[in-house]
Amino acid sequence: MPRRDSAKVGKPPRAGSRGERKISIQVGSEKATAVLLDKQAPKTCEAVWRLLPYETDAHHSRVCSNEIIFMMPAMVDAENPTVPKVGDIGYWTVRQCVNIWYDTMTPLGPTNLFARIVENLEGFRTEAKKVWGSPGGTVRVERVR
Amino acid sequence: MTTVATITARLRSENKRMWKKAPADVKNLKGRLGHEGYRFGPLIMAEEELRVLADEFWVIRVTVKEGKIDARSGGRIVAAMLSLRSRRFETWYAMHETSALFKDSAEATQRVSKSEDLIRFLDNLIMYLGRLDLWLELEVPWDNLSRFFEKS
Repeated sequence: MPRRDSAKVGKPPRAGSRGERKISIQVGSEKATAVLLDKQAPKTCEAVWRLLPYETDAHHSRVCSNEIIFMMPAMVDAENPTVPKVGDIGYWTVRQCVNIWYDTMTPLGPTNLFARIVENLEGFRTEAKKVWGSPGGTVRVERVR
Repeated sequence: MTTVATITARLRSENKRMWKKAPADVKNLKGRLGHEGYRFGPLIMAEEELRVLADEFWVIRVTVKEGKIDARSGGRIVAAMLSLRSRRFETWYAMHETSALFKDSAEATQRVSKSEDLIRFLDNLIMYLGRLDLWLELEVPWDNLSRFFEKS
């Protein structure tokens, strides 16, 4: 749930080039792979990477729509805040939350975009939708490489 | 006498403790009855209050970090806010541990003089509030409430 912070909107880099770090995010029975946007948000990427593997409870957005949320014990300041698109993964500085936008939504503003789903968004979406009706299930994030 | 350093360490320890396991205050709150014996009023008010508090302390943190207010002023504002909430979290929500933590934090931040100490304290307090809020959020049946609201 990003807020309209006093931040300029940046242009996200293209994902998928060689040497990029990847993470997996599992909700329910589905696992998506995401590439870290190290050039756009190096501090956020590093803060998240250091905490992996990480497991916690998944929550669902009440306003933004198709977004799942979980908290990470990392305090990172605003870093090239960008308005998210479907498949993006952000870190909301104000609440130390990771946000995954898995389908159409109304972004509430720019946030630290640090990763983008590049594999199995469709499968992930199926399980992520269930979080609204059954919040508190486990979300697991791991390093892929 | 509680210092900012000791209360920051205590918050860090509490955060670690409640990261994976809901604290006793969640159960305490669920036993607090509101109007007509309903438990929902105290629950939803506490949940929303924690959410807003985390946001407000974030604003103070950023303001102090940017040097727009000094540590003494920031500390006194934080102390006043925590003092009010200490009473409320005890009497309204029966969240005894949180109330005690707020009370001790208010005492400590009243005397803080260095910005870095206040910011370090706020980092841990904001994380505490956010994590506690998420535990309470899990107790609210958002899906059922939303459906009921649409039908009512």
